[in-house]
Amino acid sequence: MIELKHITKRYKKLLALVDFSYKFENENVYGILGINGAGKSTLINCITQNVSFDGELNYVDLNIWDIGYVPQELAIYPELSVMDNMLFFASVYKIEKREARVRSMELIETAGLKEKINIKASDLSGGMKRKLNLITGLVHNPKLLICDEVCIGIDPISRKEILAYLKELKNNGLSIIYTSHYLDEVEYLCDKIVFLDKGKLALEGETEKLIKKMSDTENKKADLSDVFINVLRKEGE
Amino acid sequence: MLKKEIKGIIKNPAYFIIMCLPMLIAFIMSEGTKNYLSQHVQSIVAVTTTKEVIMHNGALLNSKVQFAVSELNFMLMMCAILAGLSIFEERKLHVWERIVGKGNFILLKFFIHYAFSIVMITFNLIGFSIFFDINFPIGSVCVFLSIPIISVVLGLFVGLSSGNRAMLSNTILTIVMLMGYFGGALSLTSVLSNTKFMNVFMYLSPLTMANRLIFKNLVHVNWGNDLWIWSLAIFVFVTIFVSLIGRRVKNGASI
Repeated sequence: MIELKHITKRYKKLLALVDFSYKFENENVYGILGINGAGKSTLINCITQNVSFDGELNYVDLNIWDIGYVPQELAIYPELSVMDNMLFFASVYKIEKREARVRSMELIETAGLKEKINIKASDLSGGMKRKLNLITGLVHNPKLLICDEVCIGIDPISRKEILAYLKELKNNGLSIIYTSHYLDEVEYLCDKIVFLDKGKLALEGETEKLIKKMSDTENKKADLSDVFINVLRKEGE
Repeated sequence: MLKKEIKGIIKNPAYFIIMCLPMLIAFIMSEGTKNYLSQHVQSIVAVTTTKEVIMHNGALLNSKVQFAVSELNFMLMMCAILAGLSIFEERKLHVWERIVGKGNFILLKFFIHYAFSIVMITFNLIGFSIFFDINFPIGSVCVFLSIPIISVVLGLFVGLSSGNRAMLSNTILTIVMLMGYFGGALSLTSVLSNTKFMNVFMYLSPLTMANRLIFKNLVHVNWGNDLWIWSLAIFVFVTIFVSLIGRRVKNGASI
């Protein structure tokens, strides 16, 4: 689906991503993990071509228009209504007006925002804004959804709803690249994990296998946080 | 996308204030220097644009006409700030990161703001005709139409480069105000142009050349090489700034 070869990104003196190579496959949910400044957002910006970089990026059976991107920050127009926000992003992806309206309506209903359809985005609650932020990335029916910490700063109920929705999308065959600091979210959602540390690929593998391996090594029931800490410890050494 | 942009313009009172300003400022400024040229006959020789000060329609090319030209051009340059703020808003809201086909999006912004500038020109030309009894020939209108190309491109570049709103407004205001000063929006620089020192500064501003072309057109003097110089200046300016915009977009242009 997406192949990255020797990607290096430098912001003036800071090396954000160093010789990163990886292949993201179809119909998988990838979790990208790392501490702050590890290069997660830079990696996503490279995939979405929001920054220039050195190296090679290849889309296989996919192009930039097939990617839905949900940034960490709320990327919606506060002065526009829920529906108008949806229609704006549909127009960004050049979707025909009638189709955009139907698709938007479906997504708004699924996200539980039907009653707020004509309400300005600025008047929505934090959780609702997050939901709107997410569904605007789905309006063009993408093949790949990239979510950069979409559950940050919201209440547990909204978070649960968003995660359940993402799980449903996953079950429907949508490929997702997901970054988060909440390891339980990643464990719940992701089939494969990519650990980044100081801009480098520190570890990658299937979530279950990594946890099982960790459990076997530690002789106790481990979870993703144990794997995460172990990676950081190893990198520190 | 188009609907949202048009809504953004219509709902912004700054657009309408800028639209009305040329007539207001031209009136205030010209009252201060009323009939300067006719009162100080010796100054006529100092007008570099032309030795002739009678317009094609027989009316005097007085300070009111001069300021009408200068202020409209000046306000068209001010459109840079509106274009800049418009694209900055997308960056600030992080919507920019989600825009696929950023080139087309910038192009759309350019055309919408250019279209608004045409509305502003039309509004003022009608206003000048009704309230000031100044009628601009088609040649002058073409020069007016060329100014927003510079201002919108400049605004989009600064809008894509600035880190915050204050930086954006201050940068554009500094550039536009200086262009306005040297281009004759605050004083009749054509009167001051007998000093070599002033000449250097005057020609740093694109407004000087635009005003000069319009004055020549008003008094029916052939544009000669001035038209080519003006076209070349626009071409060079736009080429440089479009390549800078392209570079900025390639590097992300995110906040």
